[in-house]
Amino acid sequence: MSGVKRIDPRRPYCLSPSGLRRIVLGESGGAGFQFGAMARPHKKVKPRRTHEPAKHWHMAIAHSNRGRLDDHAREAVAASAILATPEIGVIAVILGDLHEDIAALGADRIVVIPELDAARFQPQREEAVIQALLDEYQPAQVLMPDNMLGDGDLGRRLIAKHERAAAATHVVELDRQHVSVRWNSGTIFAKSILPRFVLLTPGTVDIELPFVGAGEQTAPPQISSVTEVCRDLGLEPTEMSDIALEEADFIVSAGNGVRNVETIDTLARTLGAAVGASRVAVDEGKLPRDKQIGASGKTVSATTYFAIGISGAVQHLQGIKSCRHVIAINRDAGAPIVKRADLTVIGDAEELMQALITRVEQARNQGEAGEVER
Amino acid sequence: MRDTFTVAALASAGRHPVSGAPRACRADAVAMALGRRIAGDALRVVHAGTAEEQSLQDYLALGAGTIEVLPVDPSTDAAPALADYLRNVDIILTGGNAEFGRGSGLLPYALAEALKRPVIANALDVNVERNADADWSIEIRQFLPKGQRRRIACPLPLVVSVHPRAPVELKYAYARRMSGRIDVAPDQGMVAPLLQPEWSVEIASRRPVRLKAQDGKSAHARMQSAIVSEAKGGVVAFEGTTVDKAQVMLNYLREHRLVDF
Amino acid sequence: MWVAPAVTVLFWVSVATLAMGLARRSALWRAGREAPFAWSELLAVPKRYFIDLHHVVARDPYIAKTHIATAGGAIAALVLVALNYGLVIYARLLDWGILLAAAVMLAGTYFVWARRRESPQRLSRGAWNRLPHSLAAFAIGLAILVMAPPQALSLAIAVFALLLLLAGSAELTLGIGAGSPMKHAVAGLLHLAFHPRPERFSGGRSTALAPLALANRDFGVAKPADFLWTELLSFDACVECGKCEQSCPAFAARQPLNPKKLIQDLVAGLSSSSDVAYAGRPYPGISIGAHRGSPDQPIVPKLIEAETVWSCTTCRACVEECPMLIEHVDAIVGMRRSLNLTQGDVPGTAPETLSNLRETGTQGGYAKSARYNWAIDLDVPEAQPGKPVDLLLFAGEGAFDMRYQRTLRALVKSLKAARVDFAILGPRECDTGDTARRLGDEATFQALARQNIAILAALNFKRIVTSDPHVLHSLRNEYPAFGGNYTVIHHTALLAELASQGKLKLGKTTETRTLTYHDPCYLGRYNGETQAPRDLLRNLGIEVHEMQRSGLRARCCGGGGGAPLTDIPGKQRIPDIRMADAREVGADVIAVACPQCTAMLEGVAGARAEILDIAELVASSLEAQQ
Ligand SMILES: Cc1cc2nc3c(=O)[nH]c(=O)nc-3n(C[C@H](O)[C@H](O)[C@H](O)COP(=O)(O)OP(=O)(O)OC[C@H]3O[C@@H](n4cnc5c(N)ncnc54)[C@H](O)[C@@H]3O)c2cc1C
Ligand code: SF4
Ligand code: SF4
Repeated sequence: MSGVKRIDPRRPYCLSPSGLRRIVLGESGGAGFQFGAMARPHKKVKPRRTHEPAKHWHMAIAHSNRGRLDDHAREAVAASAILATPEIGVIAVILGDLHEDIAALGADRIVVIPELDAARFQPQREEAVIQALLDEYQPAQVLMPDNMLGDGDLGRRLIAKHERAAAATHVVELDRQHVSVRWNSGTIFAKSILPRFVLLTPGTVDIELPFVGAGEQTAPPQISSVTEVCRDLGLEPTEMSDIALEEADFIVSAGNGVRNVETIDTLARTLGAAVGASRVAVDEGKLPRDKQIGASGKTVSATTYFAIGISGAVQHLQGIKSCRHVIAINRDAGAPIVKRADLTVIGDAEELMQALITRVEQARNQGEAGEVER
Repeated sequence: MRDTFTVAALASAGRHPVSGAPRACRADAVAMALGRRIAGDALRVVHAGTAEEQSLQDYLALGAGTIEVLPVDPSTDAAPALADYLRNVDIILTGGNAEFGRGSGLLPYALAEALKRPVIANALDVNVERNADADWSIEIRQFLPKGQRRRIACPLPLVVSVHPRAPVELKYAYARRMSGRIDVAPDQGMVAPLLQPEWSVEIASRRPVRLKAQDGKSAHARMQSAIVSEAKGGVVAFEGTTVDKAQVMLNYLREHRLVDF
Repeated sequence: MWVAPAVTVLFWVSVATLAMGLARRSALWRAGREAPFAWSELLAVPKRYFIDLHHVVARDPYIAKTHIATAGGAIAALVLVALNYGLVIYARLLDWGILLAAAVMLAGTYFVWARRRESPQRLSRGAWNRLPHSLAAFAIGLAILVMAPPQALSLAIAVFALLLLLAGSAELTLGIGAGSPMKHAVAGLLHLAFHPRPERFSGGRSTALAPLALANRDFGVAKPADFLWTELLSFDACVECGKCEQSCPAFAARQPLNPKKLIQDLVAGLSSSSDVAYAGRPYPGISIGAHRGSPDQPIVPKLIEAETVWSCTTCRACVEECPMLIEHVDAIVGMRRSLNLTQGDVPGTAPETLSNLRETGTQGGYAKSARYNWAIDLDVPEAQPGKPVDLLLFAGEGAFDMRYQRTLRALVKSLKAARVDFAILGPRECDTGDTARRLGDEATFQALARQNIAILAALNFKRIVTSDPHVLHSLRNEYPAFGGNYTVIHHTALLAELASQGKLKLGKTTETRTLTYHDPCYLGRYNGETQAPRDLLRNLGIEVHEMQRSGLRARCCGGGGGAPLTDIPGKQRIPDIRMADAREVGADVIAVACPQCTAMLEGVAGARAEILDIAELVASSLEAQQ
């Protein structure tokens, strides 16, 4: 399933007067609608991409995050596979632990190097390990996610050492022959032949593959010890609630419709989110001024934005322009936020927050299997 | 032991992303402001290009004081010339990516490679202190996503690329623009290599095409999925119990992989 | 008898004291910058006093009469004393005159005293509370001395009366030198002569800010000595009546601004003192006593905090109310200019807006080519060089706001219905720079003004119409200083004109709800236009339920001067206060005539009146006709 898959379009719904689709809950639709069973297609076994032995290699390099690859890293692996011809093998070099099978991303060979995880800063050691792998496999293509987790940094170090010419960063489009990048802050597309090193912008590759890779684990190369010139003094402890709103990836935001600030704090803690507010909530002293989001407050770019009891005045919406998923809780289906939100739940803020807190805690505690398989 | 250390900030030509008007590149301006904090008036501000570059005026207004212009042909790679020019500077500060031109974010790495010194990316703060050997040591606070921060101890000399969220305030003062100076450094006569590879450009009027595996789905199926994924306008859940509605929200979060449970 | 000579001596000593005091005080004023002036202006004082100043004072008839009695009596008495005693005439008849004058003065003083017994909060106390007593002492002492027959005057009484007179004279004559309350009399009269905006006295409304000579490195007011000397003089004229404070929307919202205190702080600055003796209400949230300054010390932050300077909406309500015709907004913008141009120190989201203006010619950082997107389907021609047109539509920043586009579309509809020959300015239009200028960014304002003037020079049109009073003000009043002279008309005036010419057939409105009209500051106070919108509404068959503060004295919506951008915290929001004004008259609809007012009033949370631009009301009446 693609990452942008929406709610099952065949589920029961009716049209509201303003043309919005309403889901009718608690009613069993013709298709046997069930909670949690959202559009799960039955699993079918996918074929291997190639059965030929690898003559050449494509290499994907990425840091893992808590034992998993994020979508951006997945794209780099998937792209290596999509670009490969049958006689080319795909080797995925994962820096940090890996607790999942990435053969589905087309990886034929997987090298996991747990001690090079993103939490630690050891650029020289990373370079040495990757160098050994580059020497061993001589990959025709090296693909990495261009991120802040360390891959963008490592990629550029490699490029600067190797072949500045044969490299492209911030790549937004690629195929077997070409890459495109944006210049002049995105106003120009520049196209070139596919260079050896490619650092990808997120969203460049569809990670749904119709095939799988061989997925063999291989031992990492042995290298002699390296002394870092720059010493890692460690990560600073951070509290989710201390994170600047501009950096937060998940925000729950309180408006005039939220009466109980404690509930929103609890909800934020439960979801691991930062707390924001509308101007009215700030004016009323419910939340401090630096939590205000909007035209005269902060501009945020969280992936997930919960607007709770917020009407969605233009001045507020200005601050959440670049939020990807907006979920609203509001009493009033006619509030402007409904037009902006991807999902609106109509009802009382306090009750719904409580219910969501309970439900999320249950889900966490019971360790329910992720219900959405990829 | 050394009494002082030297700091330079690189200033690239910036352009507003919408209007294309010349302006100080935001990332570089932040680096400059950070440099001002560590080096005070001794900060050197260096632009590789021409003295006529309009955006330099903005850097003056933002407090550059004097800008040294290193004459470099824009079609060539500025890194070798800059490396040569800044050989004796202890701390070279740059922005992460230039906003005009390629903005590949490679320059700090190329400089570091050419000067054989370490490079630290995404610095939020740079603290210079005398260490036990009566030399200078540096502690860098590095930006990591999701509010994480790392501290790194480094020796001099080094290259630091500064993260745009570095806690400095950019203050634009017209009077400083009027009193600032632009000095052109003598041409070093270096023949810089042309930038590679060759790029062909077009106005970005379309969305980039995503790389997709050939999946053998029917054209109809692909069309269907396109329609489903592009359908705009949200879903509104009206009826059902509070518990049902909480489930709808949780399902949404899970379905879009917004939570990891 | 020795009494008459004693009065003569006292008179001349007083004159000398006054002269010395004036010399001392004027030395302080002269620390200010050169200003064009002519001594002959002194001749204009009586007219300016009796007409222009009294026009303001007369709004409060009690104090107007009180002041005429007190000041008139005092001046008459002084003139007569000068004649009779100064020139040693000692005529009995003149003594009767003096008695009469003193009696009138005493009566006035009584009313001063009566008002001060339960004085409104806006009045300063302290030294000001002494005035009724010292002035009464003067009047009584004088009356006794001149009238009582010498024989009847025992030594004790004579000495007592002389002491009274002495005390009164001290109040009157030491005031100017010592900077005590009575300095207002001398400074006030001189201020009327050398007012920094003499145009105010020739009937016009003088509201344009003066351009800065940036090339001469003139960057506004950093220290008191950077004001014009005439401005320093004007601050000394302040009588601490607090009319400005009472009308100030920022003060009402408990933001840290009080225009009266601001003027008094500037007085402290020009005279190298502090605000310890200030006996009025403080800047809300900032305590009194810790502010000091001197002519050559920076004003911000020791004398006045930056938040004070950035709280102002430039609504000019204070200027409108000030009986001493002091120009608060010029002072505030002068200080903003220095903060902005020399330090780049501007709070809130204003720096972002300013860089957007510099880099895109729009406040929001939009593409200029998108400014008229709302008109794409309306089939409106775009102005082209070489294609003459009667009317040019200059939309302003509101054109990027989805809400305000409804107003603009309504306006276009009405113009079409009236078959007006008009064109939109199109993608060439730059922001006028109004916001930049009020925020003290004179450099950006001038750059934008020059761009627009060049753009307009290439086009052939008779008049410019705009629905944005801020655009109107800069184009009409401030561009002439840069060589841009246009006839600019507000959309309400244009629609009223078209209606009166019969070109626009207004129908009767279907609006039956209670409606009030909110005057935009930049249309009313800045441009004196309060009638056209009301005429239009009346022609639509709408009765306007006027709010208590309306017309030239209307309360600001909080949207001007970049105040929403600097967003200095207070206890309340200005638009909420204005909404309460509307609620008081039971309004369900507030008619507006400005994009800024629309946004501010619509930003009021909770149940509120509906906001409709007059253009929308007009257009819907046209629709109803069809
Ligand atoms: C110049 C200017 C700048 C501004 N800047 C900002 C800014 O930066 N940020 C900002 O947020 N605003 C800003 N505003 C204010 C903005 O216009 C709105 O007034 C504000 O955003 C409204 O906040 P709200 O949605 O919390 O409150 P409201 O508009 O009162 O909306 C409350 C919402 O909660 C719902 N609700 C009420 N009770 C419940 C309940 N029990 N359960 C569920 N839902 C409930 C209601 O249906 C309503 O939709 C600005 C305004 C102006 C004029
Ligand atoms: S202009 Fe308006 S906001 Fe500013 S001080 Fe005067 S009354 Fe107050
Ligand atoms: S400035 Fe004017 S209105 Fe304000 S207190 Fe002084 S005299 Fe009165």
